[in-house]
Parts: sequence; structure tokens; C-alpha cells
Amino acid sequence: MLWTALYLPQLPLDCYAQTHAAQPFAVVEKRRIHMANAAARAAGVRVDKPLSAALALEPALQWQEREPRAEKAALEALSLWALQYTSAISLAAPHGLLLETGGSAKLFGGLDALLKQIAAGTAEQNYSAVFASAPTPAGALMLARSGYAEHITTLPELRRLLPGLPVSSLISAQAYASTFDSLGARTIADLMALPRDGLKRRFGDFLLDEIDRAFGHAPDPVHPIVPPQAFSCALPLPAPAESSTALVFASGRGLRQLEGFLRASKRAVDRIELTLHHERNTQRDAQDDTVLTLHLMQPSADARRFTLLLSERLNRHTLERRVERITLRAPQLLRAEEVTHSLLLEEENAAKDMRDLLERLNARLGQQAIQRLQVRADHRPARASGGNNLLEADERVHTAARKKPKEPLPLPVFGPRPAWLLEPPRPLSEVNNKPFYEGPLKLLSSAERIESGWWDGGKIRRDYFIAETADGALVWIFRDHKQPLGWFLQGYFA
Amino acid sequence: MGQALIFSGDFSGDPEETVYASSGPRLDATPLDRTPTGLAALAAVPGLWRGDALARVELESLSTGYSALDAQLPGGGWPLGALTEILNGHTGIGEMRLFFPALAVLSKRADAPPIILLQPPYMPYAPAFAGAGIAPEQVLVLRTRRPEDALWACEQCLKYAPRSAVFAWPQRLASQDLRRLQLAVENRPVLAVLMRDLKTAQHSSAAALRIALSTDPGSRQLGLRILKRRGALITRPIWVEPPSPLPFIPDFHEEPLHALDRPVPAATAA
Amino acid sequence: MPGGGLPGYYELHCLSNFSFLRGASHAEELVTQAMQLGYSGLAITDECSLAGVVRAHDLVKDAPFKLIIGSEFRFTGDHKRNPGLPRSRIVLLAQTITGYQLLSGLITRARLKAEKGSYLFYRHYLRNELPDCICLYVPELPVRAAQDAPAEEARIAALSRDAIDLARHFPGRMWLACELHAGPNDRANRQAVEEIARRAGLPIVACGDVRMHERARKPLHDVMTAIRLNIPVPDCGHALLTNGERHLRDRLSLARVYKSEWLQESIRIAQMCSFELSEIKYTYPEEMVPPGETAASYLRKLATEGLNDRYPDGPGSKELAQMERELQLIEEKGYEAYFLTVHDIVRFARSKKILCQGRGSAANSVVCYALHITAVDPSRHQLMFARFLSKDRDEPPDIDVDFEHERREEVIQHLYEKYGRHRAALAAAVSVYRPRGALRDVGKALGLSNDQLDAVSKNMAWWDGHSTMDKRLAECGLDTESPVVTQLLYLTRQLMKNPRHLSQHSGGFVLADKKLSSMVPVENATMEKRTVIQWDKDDLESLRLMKVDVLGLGMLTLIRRAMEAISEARGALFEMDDIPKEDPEVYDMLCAGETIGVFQVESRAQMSMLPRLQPRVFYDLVIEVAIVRPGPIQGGMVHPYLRRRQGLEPVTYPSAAVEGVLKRTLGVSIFQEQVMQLAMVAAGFTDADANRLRRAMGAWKRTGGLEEFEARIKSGMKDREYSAEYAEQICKQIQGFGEYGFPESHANSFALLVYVSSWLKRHEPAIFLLALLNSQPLGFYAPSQLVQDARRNGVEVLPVDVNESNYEARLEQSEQQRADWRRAFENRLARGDYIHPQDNHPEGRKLGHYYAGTGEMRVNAYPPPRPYQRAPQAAVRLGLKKIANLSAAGADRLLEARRAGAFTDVHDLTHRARLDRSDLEALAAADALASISGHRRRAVWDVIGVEAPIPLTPETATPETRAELAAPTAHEDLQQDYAALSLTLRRHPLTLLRSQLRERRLSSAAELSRYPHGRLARACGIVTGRQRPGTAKGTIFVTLEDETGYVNVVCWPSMIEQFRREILLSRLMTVYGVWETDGKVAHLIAKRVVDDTSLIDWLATPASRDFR
Repeated sequence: MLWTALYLPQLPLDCYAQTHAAQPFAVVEKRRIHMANAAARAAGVRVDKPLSAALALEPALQWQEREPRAEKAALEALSLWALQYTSAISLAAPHGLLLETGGSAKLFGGLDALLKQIAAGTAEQNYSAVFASAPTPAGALMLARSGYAEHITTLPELRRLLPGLPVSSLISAQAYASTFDSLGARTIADLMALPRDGLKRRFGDFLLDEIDRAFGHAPDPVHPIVPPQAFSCALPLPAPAESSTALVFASGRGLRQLEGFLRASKRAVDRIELTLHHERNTQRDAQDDTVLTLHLMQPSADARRFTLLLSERLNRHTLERRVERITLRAPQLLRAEEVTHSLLLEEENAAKDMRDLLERLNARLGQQAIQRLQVRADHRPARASGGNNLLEADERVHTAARKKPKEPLPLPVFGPRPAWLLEPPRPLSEVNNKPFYEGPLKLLSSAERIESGWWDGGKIRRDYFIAETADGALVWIFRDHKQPLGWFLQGYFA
Repeated sequence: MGQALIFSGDFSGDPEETVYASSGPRLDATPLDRTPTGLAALAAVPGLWRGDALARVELESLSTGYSALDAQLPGGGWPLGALTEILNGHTGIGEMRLFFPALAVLSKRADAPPIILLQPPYMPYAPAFAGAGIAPEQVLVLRTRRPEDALWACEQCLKYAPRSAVFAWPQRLASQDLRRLQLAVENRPVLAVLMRDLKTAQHSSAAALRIALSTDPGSRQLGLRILKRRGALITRPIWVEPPSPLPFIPDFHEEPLHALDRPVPAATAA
Repeated sequence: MPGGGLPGYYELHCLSNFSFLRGASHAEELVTQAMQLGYSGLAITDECSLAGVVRAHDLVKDAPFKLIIGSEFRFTGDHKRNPGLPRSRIVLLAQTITGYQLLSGLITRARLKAEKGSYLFYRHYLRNELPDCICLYVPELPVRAAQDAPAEEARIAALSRDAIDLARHFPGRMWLACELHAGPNDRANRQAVEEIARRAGLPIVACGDVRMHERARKPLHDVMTAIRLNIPVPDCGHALLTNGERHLRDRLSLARVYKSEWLQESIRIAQMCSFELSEIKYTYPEEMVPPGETAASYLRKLATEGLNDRYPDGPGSKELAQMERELQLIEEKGYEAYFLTVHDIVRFARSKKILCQGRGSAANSVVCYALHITAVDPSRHQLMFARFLSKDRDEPPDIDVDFEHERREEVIQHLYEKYGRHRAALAAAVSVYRPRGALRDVGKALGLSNDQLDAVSKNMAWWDGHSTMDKRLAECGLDTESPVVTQLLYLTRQLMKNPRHLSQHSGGFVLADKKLSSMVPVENATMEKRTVIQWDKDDLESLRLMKVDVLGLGMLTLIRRAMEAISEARGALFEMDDIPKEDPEVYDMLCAGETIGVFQVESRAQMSMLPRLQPRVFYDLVIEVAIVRPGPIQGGMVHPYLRRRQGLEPVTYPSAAVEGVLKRTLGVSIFQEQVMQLAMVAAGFTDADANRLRRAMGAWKRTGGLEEFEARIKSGMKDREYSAEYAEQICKQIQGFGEYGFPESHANSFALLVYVSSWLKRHEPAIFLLALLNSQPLGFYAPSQLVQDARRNGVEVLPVDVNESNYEARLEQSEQQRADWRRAFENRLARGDYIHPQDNHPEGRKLGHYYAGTGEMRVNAYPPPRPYQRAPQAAVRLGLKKIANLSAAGADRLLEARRAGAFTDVHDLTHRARLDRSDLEALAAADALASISGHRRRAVWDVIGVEAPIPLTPETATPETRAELAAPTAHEDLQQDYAALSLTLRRHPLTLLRSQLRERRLSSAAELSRYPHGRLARACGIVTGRQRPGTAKGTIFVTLEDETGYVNVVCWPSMIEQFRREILLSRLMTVYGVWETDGKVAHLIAKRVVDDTSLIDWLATPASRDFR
């Protein structure tokens, strides 16, 4: 048996799918930098420094809170991908995978060739990884964790090497790093020089056990992973993505992993679901995800094909809000013979209720054709009313991600408003100092002054009146105080 | 629910030729007379979808909110399941406000039925609807690029938007189109209103109810001349007062134009 | 422009920015604008507050303009009672002083019921009739879209009922306020108000509900709304005002909007309000006067007694005459009770052994000196009593007393106890928006992201004001040309200096004879058990209310500790007065600039001034304290003074009168009062003028207004034939002092503390270090530097040890003392004079101090030296308090357990002191277990092997194989010392780097000190301080520390931008530059700065102290 350990020293950082090549990015724990990528380090961002200091150095720094669950999920997804190279894989949390390579090496043309392939695939997914092989799983992990990218095939050779490794190569040493430090125990040899009873008493059985397993003095059972029935992988992003290209870039990793998994399990898919988890600021936004479904004309297991289709689909899609996470799912795995059948299963829906009707209208007339009226809390008449795209409005009523105000906001209540609004307003002529619209207008109300909107370039300053036309129609007109002064018609009280 | 109406004769024919079957409502009777006493109270509630709860052949209607008008309409309100045409020459005289009381009642119903505006002439303004007690979220505005789409959409709405209110502003409407629409709405509890220009009054129409609007400048009244209804014609217009945007002042008497009515001069720029 | 023919108008409903985040204009702006518009008067009616009225009052004092005092209220719980109804407000206006007192009491009641910043106002508060108050009922009418007759009728009926109900409390004194702001329902609302008036039988008055003085403030008002709601402006929706009509409208507009009889009513109401703030009469509590005495006789008695006490040989005739003059003036002005009160507080402090000392102008007074309020003998100095108290000036004396910082709270609680909470409260301090906070809040309101704002405010250094704001924003990647950033800057500037909230003054107490709340509203402070009034110190001064400043001063704590330690060491009481005066050795030390830890003169600027100034007598210290201040520096006084002192420039005076004022400072004005005296003698100011000038100087930054004085000074001096240049110079000085200057008396009080602390440093360096360490945080330097400095001065500092250390640092016998003692002991033995500790000999007990815990024979080696005689220095043992992560409870248990005997090993320690693992690890990391475990690695091994103590089981250590552990390396020890204690007693970290630094040809501080002027130099050291005095035009002074001493680096503004990051962030800094020295003071002028922090990344050096 030969074990290859795949160790991902930068997993907290690498578990975020890259959206651009060289964006400074850091993972933060308790407001301090936990890990920073090369671009961030080049800008002076240092591990353990406060986040605020880092942001002062590099205002463009993107950062995320460390997310151990995401790390674990990334590790699992990577293991599914690696299944194509060997059937015996186990997770070596927190940051490693163990692959039994002795058995499959021959299939891939020898150990070197196999490792080369795995290394290339890992690099393609933007993981920085260290590979090391040894006759014992614990030994292989220790080599990899200490950055010893060697492939040791015999036990005596391994036993010669291990004492020189730093204590940090032991997983069980992690919790005691500072203690070992203050004891002056730097290497495995230093540890082994200490009395066993004293070590056991202070650090428990696990530490000695790990050393014994590495040396091959104790049995080392591994627990291979069991491939799941469906594929799903989460792709957290270093920063909320604004463009579809960033999403295409980021999805690459997931598609590769899907490919690896499909190859290993000898399956194919004809449908991929991409869920875009939007940035959310309130609890309510939780359901606010966009699901894009990718239909393939023919089932496939080819990452390149997936990427092509996905980028086409994403480029057609306009992002209304930023995306902070992607989930890629293949809900159904097909065997080769199942394939063609499923395409025929498209069934016609009978229009039974409103929703069906709207979908039909939508399908024929296009998305913009149906709008749902909405009052917006803005004093400016033109902005007080909005139309929401229907289906979206249906799925997410609360589109705007808003912070909760300290006191409840007053309801947007308006004075008399016309049922029909003219935007832009129509200029009116003035005859004898009076506004004129198909005859002189009679003002029926006092002036309602509206003066607002300085913050977004849409500043207005107007006095609104209700006026009656000669025909007895009621119109909403205003006098603008901005240059040029004048009267305008903005609505009909239809 | 059984068949509501039986039509006979040529659909495209003159409105006067339409003959109502004897099983239809008695046109001279008030709504209450037509209802069994046990249900009289229920039926008196304005806006109730009358007939909905009754397993009888009834014309369904929605109270207009104006008792004078209700009294003159067959079914005692805006008819459901039949086309209503409103003919108007001047935008802004209250053609929409006329419907506000009925729509406000509709909007408050638990199932929140949609109010569909098809090809409205201007931008429907949410605050106005909200101000009239109509939840804007229930108002759907539909616009199509091609006229044939509009007709199709209207038909779809009438057919498949149960218990809603549909207002359409058709550009051109051939009589067969009208028939199609009338057929689509038939038997469905939908308030279907076609808003058309006054000039189309002389054309024939399959609509069950045709009303021409007129104003009396200076007053707040809207005159409704019923051109066609199921029943005897009345020539006198019916005057109603739709909800007005003007302030309610109990003892409002025309003062000399007060300072308030003049625009306030703007001070120096903000 | 006052419009002819337009009806007169008083605005009766107007909020200033003291209705926090609701009003967008200063009270001063509102008053000024109302005057300009020709209003007859204005009521400031902040929401449940009178905080803004005094400022307004100051402005209208002499103007033909009426200020009415009032307040706006919203009833609590109304929306619950009548969910359908809008919440109406009322405005109460004070008609007379009685009305004012009731109003103030009402606000107090409402405020004290709620937590800081809010109030609860219930209808039943009005149940008892409020005489002499006018009530304006402001019915709130909602915006409505359509006519709805039944709703309208219901609303009018409810509002009428409410008005009728309230009107019962204000018979003939209630009006209905009609407020129209070009809203959608103005006409209907007007009709509604008329209808309510008809039904309730009330008159209507026109009001403005003013929130800003001019329309242009609307954006700021919107931003304030957003800040209040904590959401961006665009999200505020209908919480924003619809328009800007809630400003002070011109009278033509008002005439268009309101019926003229409604405007007339405002005049009628104003005529009914006669109250002015100046009517407030303040009486001082007099209860400390014993029966049978009057305040005057009692004060005289105390002062006479005190004076005799102060001058044991009997006071001189000069002192007696001065006291007599003072007492007469005090009596004339009726200030006896005030002096007695301060005396009482000081007496309380002394009885509790709380060190205190009066500062400020009180040091001019013999009476204060006699009453032990101040410590400076005024007869020894030429001081101005008139500055403290003057016949012509109708202004109460202001006595500030410093109490030692740690125990000030005892004094405060004593005051509350003695006078009761209803009679004692702290003055308010108005906390205003500063650039950083304003930028942050406006930025948030404009929707900038938190990260952006974090970056911006992080990038704004502590010195950045609004002038550099654009630049800082640009550095953070914001486009300063973009509309949003333009708005950000514009609104930030507007928001700046707006009050944010009322906080408490640092210690200004207002005490009253009767209820304080009948003079000024009282509200809760953030700190529990504290109440504050709604006025700040300027307001108090303006209305002549007296306050006593109970301030905290850390240096006094240090001195008290040092005096205690000396007393204990000597076995006899040693007090500040026992310190020998004018000791030349102390001045030698000061002249050398060796002042780390010394009060006031330890900053870089002071340290480099001392060698130049060469202080030799006490008065030099007074000057030293006062000269390194923004006032003299910006007034350009420093160099002329130094040149004259060094004899490089003749000492001349433009006239004999000026000579009288400036003689003691060589013709250069250094103290604040000299500037005022100059205005009097050279420009003909009266005493009252000069005093107004002083006030204007203080408020100059806030309100401006010095121009008026400038013109008068220039013309006055011209008349008296002074040169224009001299006049110009004086004006410049006045502006400088506006920034910040010391009055001489204040400098005097401080100089005393400078002398005392210098003396301690010079003669009792061990005790000085002890007191410094135990009074932290205090002063400019971190304990690490204080310890290094003391060791350089020969003090032995001993490490923390579990068997030796107390919680705080303590003294222990030093090597030298031990040797001395042995010699003395042998002498005594030889003489047969032998004392055994068990003998319980009185002398044997006295010196327990030097020998605590050793169980050795104790002998008093040093009989109490008096007068002072320097003794060999003790050693300072660091305390357990310094150990990071050691719990206080754990330390307590440890010390308690140690009473039974020293700990023998870790197991013993753990079980006797019941320490948990984290306390043990903290002790091991601090190397405090050396005496029981050996070196650090051993200690750690022992500690982690300890099992948690199990109650009720016999505690025996489990035997185990002995582990062989090598001693830690020097690196390791240093690293852990810094991590656990923030200092090391081992070698300086730079010794480890020295060979590396030498390769880079970097010199040590010691080498540099031998450099000649002008040589190129390069140095490297740990950054211990960065200073950027406001007076240095952007120059930054950096102090570097290495194993041989300090290097003073100067970074001129020209290179700062290039090396900003390095200068701001380096912990280990390498500087390439030029050495500049004049023989006394030396600097390294930086040309290039390199951040070498990576070399000491492994070391957690204490944070550099960065000061303004």
C-alpha cells in the first residue's frame, strides 16, 4: 500500500473560487487577517494584523470571514473530483486528503504520471497543494504537512525522515502549538526525547498514537468516502460578484469537479442547476436566489462543454444584485441508456390559475410586458411609483436589501395624486399669467411644494396644483422653480 | 354554476335586438327583489360577488358604490361575466375614479384578485391607487407591442384571470374581436371594462353595457349616459360624484382667491 | 429686510440643533436670521430641552429682539391610547420666572424618568395647573389623498376633545397652533384648525415648526434624519421632509400663508411672556456655616486660622493685607458660601487622605492658599488676584481643584450625598461632531459602504482635519470630483460642530441652595448614579452660575503613593511640603532633559526645550510649563524668549507700561493674562473689555469674533504711539492664545507638580518608578520605557516572582541596601546593640517594609532622616498585576495562600492557591515560577502536567519520569517577556539584531550622540512614540529606542507623504538622514524611512504611544 497525502495549506483562502486572477484577498478571523493571498501580501497585508490596518494599506482588499464549513465542503468536493484517480480516498481534516495510489498507479502509467495528473488538475482548480507519499497514511500526511514533497516508498526510509519533521506536521499538535513552542519542542525528535508518560499525561493518547501510526508502530485504519447519489458543490466567492464574467470564472472549479465526479461514477448529466445566492442584508432576503437551469441537448460529462454553455447562459443574464455564493448542482445523474428518454418528458401545462396565465403572458409578451404597481417611498412624483417585473416580484417582493431603520419609517402616504402620470411632464404655455391647456386652467388647490432628491442628481423643486380644464377634466400641474421657470402638466385625475 | 345568459340573434347586430331569455333577471326589479329573503342582508353588502354563493342562475355584479347608479344597472352593479364599455372624450374627467369605490372593495378581499390594466393610455400611478384604497400590488399593467398580442392577452385575461377586474384600452376593435372578448368573459366572474373613445359610440358593440361619460365643468359630478343595457333604455344621464382629489371642506364657499392659491415664490436656491 | 406694512411676527415654535438630529441650525444662526428677517422675536423650543437657550440669550442680550424660552413635548403613549389618531405636540412657553421654573421642573421630571437622551412625558404631568406658562397645541394632521368626510369629522372631533381637555390646565393661556408648510392638504388643514378652534373655543396663532434657519439646510436636515434612523438617505422615504418650508420664512411669505390675525396673535403671546434668562437668581448653599456664625465671619475665621498654619512664623504684613483685601471683596460680592463650599470639599478630601490641589486662577488668592485649596504661596509670586476676582467684573470666581485620579469618585459621591441629588449635578459637556465622526455618519447616510468608511476613517490619521479630508478620501480610491464625494465633503463640513449629545463635564459640579431643577433642567448621564444639567460651562458662566470643578489628575495619585512609600521607608510622615525647595540637582537633571515620567515636561517638545531654557529656579519651570503650548508657539513667542534669555538679543520694551507687564518674562508675553494686560496698558482696554477679550479668545475657534477686538487694539495702540508691527504682533499673539494658552497661576500650580515629580525622580528614583508603575496608565511612556529609564538611573528592578511579588509593584531590599545593612548590623553587634525581630522592638517594626516575607532579623538601619537625606535606593519588584491573562481573583488567592508560607513547587502552588490552568500558564509564560520550577520551559512543563484540584481528595503529586528540557534561548525569553509582561528585564531586543544592523552600517543611539552637526546618519530602533503637535505645521516627531538610548527623529512634511505608511505603521524603523545638533539638543532629520518591522515580527513590542 502506498498513500499519497494531498495537503492544502491555503484551504481557508483557496476554498473561495477565484473570480479574477490577482485581486488582493484575505480571510479574516476575529477581525484579524488569518490568511492573505499573494496580491494582498504584496500590498503589505500581513497575517495576524487587524483587518482595519490591512484595509488602510490596501483599500481594494477583498475579505471574507473564515468559514470552516466552506473549507470542509471544498475538501469534500475536491475528494469527489479525485475519485477518478483512485477509489480509496479519505478526508484528513482539516486540510488534507489521503489517496491510496499504490493500487491505481499502474492504470495511469506509474506513480509519477498519476501524481502529475492529479497535481495538474488540482492546480487547474486554483488550489495550492503539497503532495507527499509514504507507506503509512499518517506518515504521508506528516510529510505533506511539513511541506516535504517527497514520495517515500519504504518504511525504513520513512522512519529515518520522520524525527526531523517539525511538530507542526502532526495534526494532534495543532491545539498545543504554543505550548510546544514554549517547551522548546520543535521537532518530532524533540518530542520523542520527552518521557512518554509525561507526554501522555499532558497531551493525551492521540499525540503518541499519531506518531506511532506514522512510524508504522500502530495500525492506521482509514475511512474511504462514499460517493453520493447527486452532485452538489458550493462555490463561495471572495467578494460579491457584479459581473457575469466573474461568475463564469468562478464556476470553472465546480464544473471541473463535476466532470471528475461524473467520470469516476461513469455517469452523465443533461441538466445543471446554478444557484446564484445574492448578497443579502436582511433575513427576509434569504429566499432571494436566482436559479439558472442549464439544459443540455445531449447528456455529457465534459467540463469544457459545460463551461461553454454556462458562459453563454450567464452572459444573457443580467445580474440585478451582486452574487456572493454559487451553488452548482447536478440533481440527476444519468446512465448512458437513460439519456434520450428524458428529453421527451417536457409536458405542456394546462392553464389553471393566475400563475399559469401570467407565465403564459410572460412567455409570449416578454418579461417587461407585465408590471406590478408599487408605491415607492420618495417624495418626487416620478419616483413614487414603480413597476416591478412580474415574476421577480412574485418570487421576491423585497428586492431592495435594506438596513432596518432605528424607528419604523412612516408609511408612504401622498396627497391627492392622479391616476395617470406623465413622465416626462409636458410643458404648458402661459397666457395672462395663467397656465393654459386646451384653454385656461383653473387652479383648484393650494400649492403643494415638493423639494427633494438632492442626493442622486434628481433634485426637483416644484409647486403642484390641481387644476380644471375647460372640459371639466382635472389635471395635475406644477410650476417649476428651476430654470427655466414654467408650468408643466404631469397627470390626469382620470 | 349554470349558464348565466342565453343570447339569441346575431351577435354583431344592433344592441337593441338582443333578447333576454325569461330565465334572466327581471329588469325592472331592484336587486333585493330578486334575492331570497334569507340572503337579502348578505346581498346588500356592497361589493359582494353576488350569485357567487348562490347555486342559482344569477347575473353576477359588483356594486359601483353609487346607489343611484346601482339602481340603474341590471344586476345592481358593474356586471361580471359581460363586457362593459365606457366611452369617454376627455381624459381626466374621472373615468377611472368612477371605478375606484368598486375596486377598493375588490382590493380588500381576502383572495386579493388582480386588477389588470391592458394598454392604459398613460402611466398608471401607484400612489393614486393606494390613495383610493386599492392595493397597488394588485394592479397589473400589461403592455404589448403588437395589437394582435393585445387582443390575445385580453382574451387570456378574461378567460384565465378568475374573479379579477380587467380594464382594456383597445386601439382598434373590430366587431368580431368584441364578440371574441364577450365570449371569453362569458360565464366567468370577471369585471371586464373596455375604455373607448366617445366617437365609437355609433358603432355597434357586443358589450352588454355601454356608458358614455360627460362632465359638468365646475361641479364634481360625472354624467353617465347609458347607451345600452339589458333592459329598457333610459335617456337621462345619471349623475354620480366619483372620489375627488380636492379637499373635503364641509362649508366650502368660494372665497376670493386666497394667497394660498398663488404659487409661493421660491426663496434663494437650496 | 424688515418689510414695511407687513404684520409683525414672533416665531414661537422653533427647534435648534439641540433637538438632536431634528434641528439643523445652531441657536445662534436661528436668532441671527430671525433678526435679519425683521421678526420681533423668537422662541427656542427644543424638544424637552433648554440646552440651546443660553447661547441664544447671549446673542440677544443687548439687541431689541425678544427671546422667549420654551420647549416642545410629545406625549408618551398617545399612539397606544388612540391608535387611529395622530400624535399631537404641545409647546410650552415660560411667561415669568415662575413659569420658567415649572417648565424646567417639568423637563427634569420627564428626563429623569427615562434613560439618557430620551424622555417620558405623560399627560398627568400637566394635571396640576401650570401657571405662568403658555401652551400652544399643535394638532398633527396627517397627509391624506382623498376626501373622506367621516374620517375628517372623527379626527376633528378627537382633536377638539383633546384640546378642550388640555385647555383646562391653561385657562386663557392656550392657543391652537396653525402650521402650514405648502403641504398637499394645507387648505383642508387650515379649515380643520379653524373648526377645532371653533369647537374648543381657542384662539389660533401662526407658527412655523422651524427646523432650520434657512432653506439651504434641507440637505443637512435630510442627512440628520438618515443618521437618526441609521439608514441611508434614499431609504428614508417619507421620513424626510417634503420640502424646505420649515425654515424661518420671510415675512412676506408668512403674510401670504397665514391670516393676519393669526400673525397678530403671536405678538399678543409674546407680550404675555416677560421672562428673561437673566432673571435667574442663583443662591449658593450655606449649610456649612456653623450656628452662631455668618458665612462672612466663618470664612474670616477659617482663613485666619489657615494663614497662621501656612506661615508657622506668622504671616507677613503683605499677606495679611492681601487677605484682608480679598475677604472684603468676597464679602462685597457675596461669594463667601462658594469659598466655604470648596473649602468643605477640600477638607473632606484631606480627611480621607485624598491628595488635591487647586489649579487655575485660584492660585492667585491668599485666601485659597490659607484654606488649603491651592498649594502655591501667592506671596512668592507676582500673581494677579484681579484675574481671579475683580470688583468691576460681575463674574463669579471659578475654582478648579484637582483630586487624585483614582479617588475622585469618592469626592463626587460625597457631594451627591451631602447636597442630595436634587441640589447637585454635573455640568454638561456638549459633545460635537468632529471631522472623523461627521464624515462617517454623513458617509453612511449617503450610502457609502462600511468597508469604504472603515478604510477612510482608518486612513484619516488622528491629526487630519477637514482641510486634508479631500486628500484622504482620494487616497482611499474615492473620486473627489464625483457628486457623491462633493456632497460628502460639503455636508460633513456642515455637520461638523453640530452637537451630537450632551455628555458630562469632566468634573464641574453645580450646587444649589434649593432645587437645581428650578433653574435648569437636570437629566440622567450615561454613567449610573450621575445626573447632569442641560447647560455647559460657557452657559453657566454666561448666566453667572457657580460651579466647582472636581477634576482628576493622575500625577496626584502618583505623588500620594510616593509620599506614602517614603513615609513608610523612613518610618515617619513625609509630605509634599517636606520636599526641599530649589534643589540644584533637580534643576541639573531638568537641564539635561532627563524627564521621562516627570509631570508635564516629558514630551518630546518639552524635553528639547529644557536644555535650551536651562531652568535654574522655580519660576523657570512656570515658564517652561507655559511656553511649550500652542498659544506662545503660534504667537511666535518661543524663539524671542530663548534668544533674550541666552543674551543673544537685547531685552527691550516699547514703553515703561509694557515693561511693567512683561518684565518677568523678558519682554515676551508667555501667559494668557499678560496678553490681556497688554491690551489694557497699550490699547486702553478697561478691565471689563479685557475680560470680554479673554472670553472671546476662548470661544474664538467656535464662534470667531475676534476681529472687533483686533481693530480696537490696533487703533488703541496707534493712539498710544506703538508701532504698527508691534500691534500686529500683539494681535497675532491673541489669536495664538485663542488656540490654547496657560494663565500664569495655572502654570504655577502645574510647575509645583513638575518640581515635586522631578525631585522624586532625582532623589527617590526607585520609589518614583514604583509609584509610576502602580499609577498606570499615566503620562507619555509605557512601563517598558519607564523601567529602562529607571535602570539606567541605577534602580534595581526585580522580575515578577510567585514567591516575592505582590499584586502591585513593591519595594524590596536592594543589593546595595543589603550591603549597607550588613555593615550597620556589624557595627551594632560590635557595639552590643542587637535587636531581634521577636523582641517586638518598636524600631524593629518600622522597617518591615524593606524586609517583607524573608523572616530575617529586622533592624531599622536608617533612623528617620528629617530634614531630608538621601538614602540608598531600594529595589523595585514588579507586581503580578503586570502579567497578561492572570486573573485578579487568581492573583488574590495566590497572595492569600502565600501568607502560610512560600510555595515549594507547582503542585503546591496549584493546590494551595486553587489556580486554574489558564492562571498557571500565565504565570509560567511570565517566568514568574523561576523560584519553584526553574527556567521557563520547565515551568511550562510543570504547569501543563498539573491536574485540576479535586475537592476532598488528598492532594499528592503523581510521580513521573523527569523530563530533560534545555534552557530557553535568549530570543525565546525576550519574546515571551514581551508577550506576557510587555517589558523585559533582560537585554534589549536590539542587542540581538545589532550585528545584523552593523552590517547595514546602522548606528546606535550612543554612537549618534557623539556625531558632529550635519553628518549623514542612519539609525534603527523600536518606535516608542509618534507626535504631531498641532503647532508644528505637519511635522511628525518619532522617537526610536535601542539598547543604548533614544534617537529623536524629525520628519518634515515634505517627506511625510512619500513615507506616510512607514512612518505611521513601523514598529521597527530605520531612518536615513542628517544629524543635527546644537550641543544641547540633537535630532535625526529623516530623509528616507524604511519599515523594518519584519525583523522583530516575532516580538510583541508594546504599542507606540501616539499623541497629538
